[in-house]
Amino acid sequence: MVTGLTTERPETRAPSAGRDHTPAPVKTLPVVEIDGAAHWRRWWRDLVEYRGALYSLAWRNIRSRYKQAVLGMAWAVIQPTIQVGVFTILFGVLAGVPSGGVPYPVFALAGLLPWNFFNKVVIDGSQALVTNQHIITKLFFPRIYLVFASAASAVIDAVVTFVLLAGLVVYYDRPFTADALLLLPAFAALAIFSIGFAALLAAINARWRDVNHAVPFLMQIGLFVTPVIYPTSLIPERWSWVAAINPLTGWIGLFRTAAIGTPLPDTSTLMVSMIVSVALAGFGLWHFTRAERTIVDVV
Amino acid sequence: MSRIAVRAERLGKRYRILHPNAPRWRDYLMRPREAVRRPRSLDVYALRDVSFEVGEGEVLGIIGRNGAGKSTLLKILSRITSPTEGRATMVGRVASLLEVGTGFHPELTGRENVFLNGMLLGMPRREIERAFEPIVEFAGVGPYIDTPIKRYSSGMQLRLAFAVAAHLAADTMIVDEVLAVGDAEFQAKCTSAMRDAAGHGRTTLFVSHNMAAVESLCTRALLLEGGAVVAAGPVREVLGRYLRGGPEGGQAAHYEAADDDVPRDLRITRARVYGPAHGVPIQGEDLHIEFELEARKPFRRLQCLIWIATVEGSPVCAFSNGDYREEWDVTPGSHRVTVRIPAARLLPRTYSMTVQVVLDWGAERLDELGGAVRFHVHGRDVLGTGVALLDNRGVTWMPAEYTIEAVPIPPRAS
Repeated sequence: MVTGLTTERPETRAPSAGRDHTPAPVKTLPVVEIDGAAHWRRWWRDLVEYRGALYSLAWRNIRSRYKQAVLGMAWAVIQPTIQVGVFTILFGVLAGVPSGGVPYPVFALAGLLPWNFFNKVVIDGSQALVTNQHIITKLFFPRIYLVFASAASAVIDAVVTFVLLAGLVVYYDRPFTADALLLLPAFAALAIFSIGFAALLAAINARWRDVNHAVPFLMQIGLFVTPVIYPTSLIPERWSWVAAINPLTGWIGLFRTAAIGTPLPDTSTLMVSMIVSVALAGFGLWHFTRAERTIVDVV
Repeated sequence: MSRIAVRAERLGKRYRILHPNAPRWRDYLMRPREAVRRPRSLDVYALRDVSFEVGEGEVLGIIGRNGAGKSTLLKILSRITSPTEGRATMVGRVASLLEVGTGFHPELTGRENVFLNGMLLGMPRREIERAFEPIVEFAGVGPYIDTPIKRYSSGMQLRLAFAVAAHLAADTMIVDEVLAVGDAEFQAKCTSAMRDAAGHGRTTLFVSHNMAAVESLCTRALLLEGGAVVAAGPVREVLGRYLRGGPEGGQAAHYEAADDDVPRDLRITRARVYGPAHGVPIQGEDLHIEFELEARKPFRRLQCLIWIATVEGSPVCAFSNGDYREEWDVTPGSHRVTVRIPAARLLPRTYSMTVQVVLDWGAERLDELGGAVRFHVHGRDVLGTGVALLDNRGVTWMPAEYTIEAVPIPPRAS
């Protein structure tokens, strides 16, 4: 409403295309159709149209995270450092878990980085609709942006951890190979899977809060069920297919290859990870888009 | 007629709720055959078959009692939830303000919140940068702009939130009760900001319980009742219809005497307060007080004394036919007294009335009806300026003329 408080207002009112100063011809006013059905074109258009909301939500998450904490961003370094320290003493030194010829701290951190990312996206993402219900009941934007925004803040953590990892790699003088090119694809695959999975859980959580209780608990178990702090080789041959069904096995393995040059996971594991990831993420996003139109009625 | 900005076609919203008779777990165990046959859910319509059109630049008021479907309608048009039936078409950029300060984060500074909130509401970044100074000025939070807003007073938070919203640039605005918050000064600021927006040809859908605001801002109105449109048209007609119908918008205030055990020579049998135009008392309009007497014997020089007080008990005024030296002589039987007060200057609030019928200024009290009649005066835009005169100003108001002139500076005494 209101404006007219500054005189140049009317010119700035030009909608959509006209946002870049060129006053849009009257005929190009965007038309929004509201009905009960799902339209993919409208869905895509909204993603573009409301990109500002994504930026806002993500930045809000990131900025507010370390406010009023004396150590601030340092926490993003302290947490994985202590994590690696504890795991190195417990598993590397005391239990003597093999790490495929790589110094255990590097090995563990290269697995913890993707795991922590997944962990954070899924926990924060699955709660995003519920914790932001005061916003989604008052304002429209593509709801999936709440999940994306959770992922954005996890990406920041991952980047900080990566700096730490790079430090360790240099310290232990690991060889630099062409495997490093896999870094981005591995991380992207992990991110897509994590977001899709989080979206599925978020939509379910909006209706049944059991997810709120189940997810953090299952994630604790997940850390030990997934080859994060131990190598895949520790899993008996007969059961390797079970590990492969867990897409994280493939993506964390791939990430580790890229980061510290451990051998590539076998092709069959990667294939299974790929199929399960695509199916789960696809289903998650599909379910989310179906549910999001009336999610505020049940949240 | 100008071009259509908003068109709703047979919009409906159905909610499925748990049937009050739905079988419980125990029923499934104990009487499974009967349990599966029992209904499990119940469909309720929050909105049904709502159609209307809003022309470009028009300001449409949406009114109705609580639960009439106003919020549901706004939520559908804001795309917060989807309709189950029908469709709506919105032309141009739409911004909805169902609340001020949605998405404000207490830990972040005023500056951060202005940017993040603006973007969340759909303002491009560049536009926020341009509007930043005016926003801070409008909100009057200048020196605190880099302080986390959790340190702000609630008034400051509100002003900042509204300032951002006030600088939103959109073709169509959807506004819900935003004006219902804040102190009188801030409300006036909001109303004038709304008026400016309307003046700039912005299409606005405005939901409010504040009849004065609706009347002054809107050209047309839509009255919802039980999820359906029951009236649509020029704002005055629809408001009139709203005020006449139903208990809340209300019948005139009423009192009927119970049968008295004590036989009296004179009884007040019924009394009511009403506005001749719409049935209910309205701010600044004629107010009628009517009561009936039943006399068993003749009386001479009857006086009625009427006190009006707020429901909290502070006296407002008192008057009597004795003021005009118009005492009544009555014969046995029923008599109806009507007191006509032209353009009653009562601010919108709830009042209670006490009526006494006496002789000689109360030397002898024949009957009294103490505080039994309560009436609510409905607000309206009495000055025609869009500034609502509300009960936070007291109980009445004084029309006044305001002038200002330069005063020559007197020569300084040396």
